[in-house]
Amino acid sequence: MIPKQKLFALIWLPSVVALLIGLALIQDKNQKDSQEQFEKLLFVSWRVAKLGYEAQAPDEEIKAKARQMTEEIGFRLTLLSEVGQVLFDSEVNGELEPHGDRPEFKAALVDKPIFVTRQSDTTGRKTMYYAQKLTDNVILRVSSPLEYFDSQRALYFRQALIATGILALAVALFSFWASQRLANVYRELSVAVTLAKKGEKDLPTFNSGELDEALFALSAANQDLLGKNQEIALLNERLEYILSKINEGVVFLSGQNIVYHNQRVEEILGCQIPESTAQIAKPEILSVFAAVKNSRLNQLKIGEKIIFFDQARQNSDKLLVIFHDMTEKEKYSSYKSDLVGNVSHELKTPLALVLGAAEVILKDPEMTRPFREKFLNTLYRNAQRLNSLLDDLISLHELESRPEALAEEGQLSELIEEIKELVEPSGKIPGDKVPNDKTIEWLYDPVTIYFQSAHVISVLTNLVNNAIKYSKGPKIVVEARLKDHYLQISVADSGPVIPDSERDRIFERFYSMSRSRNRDRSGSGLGLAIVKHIARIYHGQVRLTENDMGGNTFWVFLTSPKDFS
Amino acid sequence: MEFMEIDIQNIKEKLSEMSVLVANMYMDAIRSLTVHDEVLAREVIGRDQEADTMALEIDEMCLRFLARYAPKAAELRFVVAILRLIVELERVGDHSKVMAKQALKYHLAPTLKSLPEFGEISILPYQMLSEAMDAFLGGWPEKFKILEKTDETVGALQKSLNESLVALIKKDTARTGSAIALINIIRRLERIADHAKNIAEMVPYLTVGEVAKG
Repeated sequence: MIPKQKLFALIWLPSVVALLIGLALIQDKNQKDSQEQFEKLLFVSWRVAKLGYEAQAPDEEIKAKARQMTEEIGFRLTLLSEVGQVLFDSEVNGELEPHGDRPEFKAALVDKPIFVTRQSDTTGRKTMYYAQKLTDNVILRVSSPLEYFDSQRALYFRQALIATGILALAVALFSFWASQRLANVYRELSVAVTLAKKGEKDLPTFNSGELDEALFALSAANQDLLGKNQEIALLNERLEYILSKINEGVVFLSGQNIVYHNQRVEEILGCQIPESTAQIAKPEILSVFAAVKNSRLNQLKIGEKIIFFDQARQNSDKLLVIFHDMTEKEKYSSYKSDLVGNVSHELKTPLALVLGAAEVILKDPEMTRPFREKFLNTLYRNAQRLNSLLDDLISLHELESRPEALAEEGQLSELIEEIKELVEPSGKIPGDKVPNDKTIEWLYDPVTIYFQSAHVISVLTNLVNNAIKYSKGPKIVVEARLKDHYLQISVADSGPVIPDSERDRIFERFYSMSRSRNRDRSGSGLGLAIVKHIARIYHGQVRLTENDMGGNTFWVFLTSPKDFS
Repeated sequence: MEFMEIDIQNIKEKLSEMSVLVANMYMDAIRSLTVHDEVLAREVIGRDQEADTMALEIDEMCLRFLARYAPKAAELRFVVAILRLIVELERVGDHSKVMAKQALKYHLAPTLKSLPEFGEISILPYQMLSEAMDAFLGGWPEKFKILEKTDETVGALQKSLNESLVALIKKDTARTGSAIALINIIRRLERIADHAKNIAEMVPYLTVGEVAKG
């Protein structure tokens, strides 16, 4: 916004300068004109004096007249001889020094008379001189002091100055009014433009067609722009939302600059993404971008993570990179192949034994009874093992696919008795090579519980069987207690301790087969997986800790379906 | 000037790739030891060649940088530090290769079960290496003081592990081979920790031109 003072100065100052320049020009012209006029006057008086001289009037009379003229109007006549001797002077009586060095005299001598303005040596005043030859040896000089002329000029100048001053004042008043007016218009206009920018439709009007039209055009253009902006912002927001929700990390690179990246990239790479790859200080992350740039690989490993990436080049230095976190997928696929391998292996082994035994019996019909019994026993045992494995697989599959928890009333003590029969004295699986030489201590409250009894039995048998098979110590403690809202089951053995790294994985299917635990202690390898699934359908959890006996305690917490919220 | 920055960035990126390669070699060598994965061990041995090639490439890049820009002050120190750094990284790769070879030769998993401290001593040098590289690229000159402490921990662990292994040899002579292999591996781990410390010690030189000595 232009302030009023500035507007005022903008109008007024140039006007005043123009006025002053006019004044100076007039003054100059005026001076020239008046000088010319004075010169003419001086010349005329010289001519008059010449006439007098030529009239041959008595000398004294002329001299007296000349003196009178000098007295009355200040014109002074001087007669000079050809050598500069003063013959007569109308102002000064008596002797005067020779005037041979005066410029007007010298000019007259060569018949080129001039007007000369200078300080008079005789009178000491500023005087204008004119001299010309009367005869060959007499020169007449006329002169007049310039005081009157000067004073006239000064007066004239003063008047011009006053006029100029008055004019300047008038211009100032006009400027003031105009600046006020302009500033008002300007302010209104800027208010209107601000409103137009904000997208206001109702704009003030000015009584000027052009202004109103311009303002209208501006407002329309602005409306248009605002609309487009909104559209773009909306699109942007939508795009940002989509990119923030997808499971892939997206990075857009322009040379070294990271123009865009979504949140997911930071999760996948596990670090903050700066604005330029030059600011990355983590070697792992920097190597990712180096690999991306050189597109040598499309799979990377950062610590435990496996990252795939795809890229699309927009042009030579603009690059869109999409990161996929494949860690879980890779883990799952290796888990799956392990599982398939394990299942087929576990099925194959007893099946091979069944087939082998059956084949021997078939091929040798004359076989003696004890031999036949031995092979039949093998056959039966392995068929049983196959059966129990398939049972476990089926029950696990059921737990996984149709998980439902039923509140079935039952006595804990009855359930425990049932389990005791299953695990004592021979173990659950008929034909198991491992003898049960362990003492089992049963601790429980004689209470009524509301769980599907098959599930509770399954949890306890699996845990107890597990302890019988894998622990080396002599003692197993089984405890079942009903707490506020849940049933707490714990099975403690006396070692060896399962290392930390295996504690989570032990609940995976077939874990015992594939890892450290002893292979010849047969079990389906599904027991703990079944326990975990049962815990899950009762909103509970499983836990594994070390205990005082130097072994492991498996904890299972089951919430009664009655208490499900 | 801009070209110089791009070249510096390229060197940094290549260096990062090498450090990640070497760190992965290291981790995979340890894994091949603990779970006795022979395929992985062979892969680690194969990757050593790759690390050496990469070191040569970085070497070449540094020399070209020197020839092209005749760098001064920070840039010169950067190149000098990189030239020293790749030697350290290459050594780490070599140690990893040796460890992988031991994994091929001996079935160490059962012996390792009785050495819970091995878990710690196998992970500490990796962390040190990773922190040292972070310090190098991020320009944190104070890091080496922390790493010196970790290095001491590694030293103490080495001592205690060696004692356990000697005791094991006395008790079970059948395991002498594995125990010696492990002593050897632990020495390699300790050397890797040293290399990590060396890398961190270069950082003060890189950033302010001072030589750290510890």
